[in-house]
Amino acid sequence: MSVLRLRAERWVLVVTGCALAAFLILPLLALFATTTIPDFATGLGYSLVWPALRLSLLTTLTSLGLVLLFGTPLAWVLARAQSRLVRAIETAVQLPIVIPPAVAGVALLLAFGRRGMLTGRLYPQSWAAAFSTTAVVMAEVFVSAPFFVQAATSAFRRIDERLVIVARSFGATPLRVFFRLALPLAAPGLIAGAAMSWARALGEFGATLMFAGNLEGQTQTLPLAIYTALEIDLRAAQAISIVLVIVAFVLLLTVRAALSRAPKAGGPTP
Amino acid sequence: MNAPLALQVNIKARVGRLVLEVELETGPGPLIIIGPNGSGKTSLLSLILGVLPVESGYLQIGQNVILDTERGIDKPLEHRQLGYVPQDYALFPHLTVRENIAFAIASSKPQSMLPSSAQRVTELLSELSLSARGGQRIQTLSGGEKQRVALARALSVSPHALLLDEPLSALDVHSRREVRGFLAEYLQRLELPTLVVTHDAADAQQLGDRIAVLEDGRITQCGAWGELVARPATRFVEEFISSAMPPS
Repeated sequence: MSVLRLRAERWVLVVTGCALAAFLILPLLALFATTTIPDFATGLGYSLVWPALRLSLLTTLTSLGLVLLFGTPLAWVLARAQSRLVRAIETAVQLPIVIPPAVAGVALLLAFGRRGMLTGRLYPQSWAAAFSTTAVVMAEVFVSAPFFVQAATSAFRRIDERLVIVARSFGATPLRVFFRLALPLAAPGLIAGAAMSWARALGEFGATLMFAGNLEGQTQTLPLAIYTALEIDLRAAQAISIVLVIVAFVLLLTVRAALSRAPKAGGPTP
Repeated sequence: MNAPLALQVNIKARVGRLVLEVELETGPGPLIIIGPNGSGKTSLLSLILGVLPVESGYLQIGQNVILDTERGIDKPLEHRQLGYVPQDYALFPHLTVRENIAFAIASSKPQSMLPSSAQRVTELLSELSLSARGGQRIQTLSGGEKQRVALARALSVSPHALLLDEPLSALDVHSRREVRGFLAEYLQRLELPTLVVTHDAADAQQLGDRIAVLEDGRITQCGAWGELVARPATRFVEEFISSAMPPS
């Protein structure tokens, strides 16, 4: 085969791949290229921007805290248990990753809405969370927790089982093994999972709209503010979008940095 | 150390397709377990640790019964008081040498006894010539040093018996010879019931006085190296011994 043909075939693969890369990158570049600093400042100056930013920070940090608090022990249990029941639970817990956000919204309404399955049985109707800030947090936890649990379960599974057996042979209790051994060893994977989970919560739109509504200052998060701003002034929608892209980019860098450390931290020490 | 004098093992278990039926007893010193690959050597240690289920059996260290299926006794690993050093040592990579040992002591003792743990760590580091390495990360140690840290850590909790799985297999040929001499002398001095699993004839010859041969889940011969040489019970023993002999 001629050198020319080898080069040509290599270029076919490069050009084909680059076409998709360009399609993915160009819209993001357009966000930055089609604005000016004065337009960006004007966009950020709209009254709906800062309440939405404040609410997004408040709700996503709260949901992240809840996801870490409950998701870390869940991931540890999933990583260690062998039974079929646990495997089934693991699959069910990951389901919100693949179901459409609108379906998540309907499901949350049917479970926790004013006429929900659990309302009136587990708690009085006046406690129903739908269309409140609590509902925003619940929607964010529902859609973002599986990302963390999946990453954390993988990180815990990478821990050499012999480390745990040795620790137990010293008399280490399950909580001591969890806090002093599993958490530090899985830390890079947990950080990456937390960043992914937070990014998903920050971008949550469909489930929040259906379960919490779009009430300024109360349930209107940044993605919902973009949706609303499109009807007022594109500059506001664009400014919020740019803020979200920058945050997402920083989170992505965090994930990559954390994951690059993962194998060293979780592996055995021959 | 006020060590118990014996470890009695009488275990029946199914591990995958292998049926293990092992009965043996160590004195106050090392008993070496040899056997071909897949004969159940490492599984035997896992059964003694309690991380694999037994069908029936009995385990006793000194006067302390840790397993008796007839009487419904099955102590969890945390209460078996066994020192365990796995094949790759399983040192905690996020901790320093000193912290590895302190972790073990803190896991075994109530919080009120912790002030004495720092002193115990220092004693052990000195005993195993590791004083200069206390603050170092595990990754910076040589193979021989890692082995000594794993031993110090296992002994720090005053175990009633010691289980070593291929203690020298992670070392290169040169350090293996060096560490083997140290380990043989140290284990004799400990006077602690010890099981050492190995596939290496030189290790088997030097690390203990008695050798048990495990084949296909059963002990086929048990005795001193000289007895195995004089009267090898199986073809495996014959081949194993000849691997230790210099070529004629």
